[in-house]
Parts: sequence; structure tokens; C-alpha cells
Amino acid sequence: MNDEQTELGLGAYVAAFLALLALTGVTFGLSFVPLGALELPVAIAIALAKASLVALYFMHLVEQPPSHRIAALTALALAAILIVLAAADVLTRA
Amino acid sequence: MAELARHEEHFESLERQAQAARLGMWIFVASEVLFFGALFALYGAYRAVWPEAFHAGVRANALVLGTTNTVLLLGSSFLVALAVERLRRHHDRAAKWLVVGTLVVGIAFLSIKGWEYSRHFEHGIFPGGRGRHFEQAGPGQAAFFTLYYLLTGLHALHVGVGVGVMAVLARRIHVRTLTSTAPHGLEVGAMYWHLVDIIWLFLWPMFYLTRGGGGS
Repeated sequence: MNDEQTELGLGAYVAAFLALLALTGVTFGLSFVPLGALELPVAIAIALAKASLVALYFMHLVEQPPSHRIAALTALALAAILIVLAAADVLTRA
Repeated sequence: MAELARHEEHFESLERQAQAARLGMWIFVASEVLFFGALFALYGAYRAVWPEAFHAGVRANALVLGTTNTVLLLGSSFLVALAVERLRRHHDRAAKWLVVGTLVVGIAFLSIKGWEYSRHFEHGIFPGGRGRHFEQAGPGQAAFFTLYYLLTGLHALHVGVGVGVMAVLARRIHVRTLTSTAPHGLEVGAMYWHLVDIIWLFLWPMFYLTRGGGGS
């Protein structure tokens, strides 16, 4: 099992961290741009991208077997259903 | 010399034991995602009902403090990720000090958060819409700040637990009950810290950035 695993090198952590800082800067900058109704969805989309970087590299998901990815993605999918359906309810009330 | 790490009897190998520990941690992470996901749904619902009040609430929060804390937590995640990398490459001492660094940054985060709470109290902003701030502001801001206290408070509790976890891990590396022969003990603890970081990545735009119209 050990043979299949390729452990991340130092460069991968540094690259992930720099990308996270860059996306943090983008989120911060965008908060001064009038985006109207898209304000929250855009910020959450960037946060999801950042969370993916943390999960894949800092939490080593890229090195791990598919069973681990399934656990993470199932939670994400169920949380998304919960949030989207709750939003659909509130936004379509007369 | 560190003795060769032995796996528990019911595991075939140390590698199997490490994978089981990681999967167990992922399932814990998944349940935390659902826990916070439900609260995010509540936030979305109240925000849809009171969009203006939520913008006003975000504007009342300290953008600089929230952003500083975002950078601090990202930096601490980087430190503990490096600690895992160092331990895997048999640099146990470097790993220990990186874990200590993570712990210190975590305490800095909590200090800023605590100072922020005390500023809110001075401004008459308390949970449940109590305090003089809400004499002018309506029920929307009461919902906003109650969710703010609930979510940032739960998150701060997680940071506090994380600081404790880091202290235990640093001590275990120091006394060599956690070594590079079985680094997954640190990996699993680091995963908890990263989870706490990820939650804050969402709280930051929800409570500090989305203030409406791009106005500051």
C-alpha cells in the first residue's frame, strides 16, 4: 500500500498556501465591488475553492484512497441539499 | 533512539492502522460539515428574510479584525501542514516547534476574537437582540448578531479545543511517544485544525465581507 502513495513535497504546501492567500485577496477585493444579489454566492464559491485546496493538500486528500473522498463529498452533497432546499423554501414564499 | 512503532494487534500493518485513523477522522469532519451546514442554512434563510439588516450587521463588524483572523488561521493551517511534512521526513524537532507555532497563532486568533466580543459589548450588542444597539435596529439585526455569536462562538470553541490538541501533540512529540515512525497521529490532529480553518473561511464572508453595494 505504501508503494502506491506519493507523499506531497514541500513545494505543494507552499503553492497551496500562496493560492489560498491569493484567493483571500480576491475575496477581500471583491467585497468593495457592488455585485448585488451575487455578492454572497460569489464569496461562498471562492470559499469553497479555498476549502477544496485545504482538504486536497493540507489534509492530504490527494494522497488518500477513494473511500476518504467519498466521506468528504457525501457530507458536502448532503449539506448542499439542506442549504439549497431551505433557500428554495424561503425565497419562494408568497 | 525511537523504538519502531508497532501497530495494534487487530490491524494487519501500521499503514492499515493509519488509513483507518484517517478515514475515521474524515467521518468526524463530515459530521462537523453537516452540523455547521445546518447553521449556514439558517443564516441563508434569515438573510433572505432581512437582506438590509444583514448588510447593516456586516457593516457594524470590524472588517480589519475579521480579515486579520482569516490570515492568521490560514497561516496556522500552513504551519501544521508543514509540521506533518517535517515529521514524515524525520525532522521531529522541527515538527514539534511548528506545532507549538500553530498553537501560538491559535491563541492570537482567540485573543483578537475575545477583544472583538468586548467591543461589541461596549456598543451594546449582546446575543438574543439584547443591548442598546437594538433599540434602533430591528429584529433582522437581532437575528444577524445572534447567529454571529452562535457561529463564531461555536467556532471559537473549536479553536480552543484545537489549541488543546496541539498542546498534547507537541508534548507527545517532545517525549517521543509520537515520532516519525508513525506520523499519522499528528496528521489526524492536524486534520482537526484544518477543519476549523475551513469553517472560518465561510464565516469570514458571511459576517465581515458581504455588506451590500460594495460600500465600506
